[in-house]
Amino acid sequence: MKFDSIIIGGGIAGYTAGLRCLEAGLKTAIISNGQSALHFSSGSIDLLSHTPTGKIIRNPEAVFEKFAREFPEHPYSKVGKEIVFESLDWYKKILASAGIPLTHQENGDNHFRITPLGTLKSTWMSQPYIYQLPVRLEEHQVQRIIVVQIDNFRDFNSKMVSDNLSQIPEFKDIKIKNVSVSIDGFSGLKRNPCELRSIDIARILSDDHEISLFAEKLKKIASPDDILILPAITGNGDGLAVLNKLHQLTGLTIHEVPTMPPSLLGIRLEEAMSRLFINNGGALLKGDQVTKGDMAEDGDTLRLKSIYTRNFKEMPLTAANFILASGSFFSKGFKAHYNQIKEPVFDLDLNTIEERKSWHQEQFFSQKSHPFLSIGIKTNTAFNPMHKGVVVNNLFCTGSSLAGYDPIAQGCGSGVAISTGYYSVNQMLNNSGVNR
Amino acid sequence: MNIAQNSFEKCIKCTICTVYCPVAKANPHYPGPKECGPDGARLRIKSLDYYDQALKLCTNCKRCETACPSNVNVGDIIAVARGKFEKKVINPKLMRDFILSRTDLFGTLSTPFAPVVNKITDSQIIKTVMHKTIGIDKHKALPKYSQGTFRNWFKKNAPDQEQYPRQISYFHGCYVNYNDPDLGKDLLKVLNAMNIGLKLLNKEKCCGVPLIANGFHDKARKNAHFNVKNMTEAVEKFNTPILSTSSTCSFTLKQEYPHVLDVDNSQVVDKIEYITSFLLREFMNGNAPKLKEINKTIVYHTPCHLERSGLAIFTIELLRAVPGLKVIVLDSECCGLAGTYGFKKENYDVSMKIGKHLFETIKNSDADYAITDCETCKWQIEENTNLKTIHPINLIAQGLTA
Repeated sequence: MKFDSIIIGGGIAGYTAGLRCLEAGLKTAIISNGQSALHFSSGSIDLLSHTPTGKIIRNPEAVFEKFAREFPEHPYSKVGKEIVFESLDWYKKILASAGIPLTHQENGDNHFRITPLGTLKSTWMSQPYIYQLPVRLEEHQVQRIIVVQIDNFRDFNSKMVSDNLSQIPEFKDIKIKNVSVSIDGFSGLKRNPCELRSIDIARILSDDHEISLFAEKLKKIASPDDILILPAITGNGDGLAVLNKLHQLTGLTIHEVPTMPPSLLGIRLEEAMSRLFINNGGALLKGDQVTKGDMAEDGDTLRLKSIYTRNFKEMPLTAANFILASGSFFSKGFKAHYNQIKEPVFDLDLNTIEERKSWHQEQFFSQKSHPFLSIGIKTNTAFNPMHKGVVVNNLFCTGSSLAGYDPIAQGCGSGVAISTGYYSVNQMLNNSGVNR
Repeated sequence: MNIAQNSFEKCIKCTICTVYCPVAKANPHYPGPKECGPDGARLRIKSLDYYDQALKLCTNCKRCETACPSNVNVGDIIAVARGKFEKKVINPKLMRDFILSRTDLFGTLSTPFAPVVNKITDSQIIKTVMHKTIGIDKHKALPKYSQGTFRNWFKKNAPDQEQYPRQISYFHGCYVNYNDPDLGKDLLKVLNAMNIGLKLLNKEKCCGVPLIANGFHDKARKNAHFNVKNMTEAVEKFNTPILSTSSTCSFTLKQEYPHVLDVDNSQVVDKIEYITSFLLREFMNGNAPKLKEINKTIVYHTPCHLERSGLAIFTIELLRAVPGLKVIVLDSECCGLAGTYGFKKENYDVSMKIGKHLFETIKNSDADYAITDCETCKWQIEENTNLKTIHPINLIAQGLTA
């Protein structure tokens, strides 16, 4: 089967590339092996919170040029300031058209969001019910925080949140309270309510009667000037609609925090992108896995001719260009063996670290980056990878498959995914190999 | 190899499968695929006392498997457990399950008297009686039988298939044989227009999917051995591909036999193919029949088992290759019927709740037809939207010029 472009991976990088390809009028397929890591994510878009040396960044745009000079191997430095911000702007528009308005600080600053552990994490663009705290934390306007514990719900612990929040020096004058709230719909169930995950609760709360009962209880414990911290327990395709209703019924300032998986905030992004991709005519091959590719010599370089998947065993999928958005270890973009890390489909060259001992920090919660998180595919400036030292000229790598950055420590995972997905399609369109 | 036996070890407990489970979405009492599948499997090794009767709420749609990021065969684990541990209680519902799952037995008995049988099963009184006694929901219309089987028609009316330079073997399944021979006839027309002849297998039985769904695994296994034997003969004698027009039959022949029934089909599995992937390949290799423009709008519904087979793309691309046709691809979601599931009184409400969004989208679509690859999806959509629902082959046959 023939396409103009095939994207391997259906996460944030893959969908960004896929949607961009469709905009350019290309016949496009995405192959995804199960749902993506967005199901484990905060649903906020991180741009850049720390430099690789650990310095805190307040305004990514203001420091971009300096950053690019200092860290030329970082994917952002290859994409360049203009395209990075163009891509984020584009992403914001695309998501808004799919019903998810994302916002950021007007001056381009990062903001803090409160995490499910009650810590603060710097991010750049968030969904409507994320309360954006200023990075200059002392300027915050918060008077009181109410943390809601859902009775019997094990995937969110309000006590931990309130305990950790109260240790933040800038919050020392804030009243922080945690309150238990029960959900009436639990009582009729033929199940033990402590087995319920976020998605189960979301299904109960999608009932109009349940949400209004819940709203009544919330109104009693908080007032509109408070920040009401709720675990993300709404949404089964209609998360924002349910939250809007809850907001209308209560008038409260709701702050959603992701729970233990599945994270409904992240799912919201994936669902929106996936639906848009299909509505715009993309071919989505779900639950399939690319097993191998056929490469041919093309001058001094290699060319990926076709790929095979688990479902398309002997029937090749061909395309003028391919985008690799297969993610990191969790998404099976890389496979770690005891002594080596491999890219399992094409055996692309990685920036591996020889010494097994130095793959990680001794302390799991180390402030320093775990080196294995920066292991990835080596690419040229167009993000073409290499196979045994030879460039593959029509394959473009994106997102967490790339080498040279640590999405966790640097707080830049989704920003890199969006900007490299976007940039790769630009490169692809420039590539002389595009034949429609 | 029975891969379902150990794949629960790969589960990381992320619960993503439950997000995409149509039953968990509609029925809060169902613990969902993660708990019923990999979690339960671990416990059931310890003691059968952990077997939870809630497993029979699973429709075997396999959407959990499509969603799983860790390649766990969640649905297979549940189906295997049901086959092994589900206790059969002798009651009227067992009789119903027997009737619903013996599609070929009741097809053979009914087709000679189709007009009478159809009239009886359509009568409001009989529906109420069935609702109250054996628990077939009174809102449901049982599938209509055709007068005479496809097999008999084929023997009388298609003696000239050997004249074509290439042949395929057709696994028609119960639906084409007893309910809708016209689909088989349309397939014959389309293939002949492509200069391909159609053969039947020497014999075939129900693929077994309703038996699996109702917990009659021993009987399903017998059918599987029987079908594998007949398919093997066809491959050895004629070396033909074996095509099916039912997305669920082909899925069962290929995947459920080894994964759920532990029946080895390795000698034929690569020969079995769902029709649209065969056709699209032929079209792309230049062997497309001449098609006239069909200036219609259709909505396409992806059946669960086609989604799990990863083959929906073939049907969609095939439809997009029909000149003049406007194709709207609906969100891929379960229609709620799931074979025999939605016919049961105790499942009816959940079944309707699962399908609600699909029905509403179709009702608001202004399409001329709905198109889907699965016969039971067709029944469900027609019953709940009043939009005529046809198979992709019916549509291609409409476009043939000769």
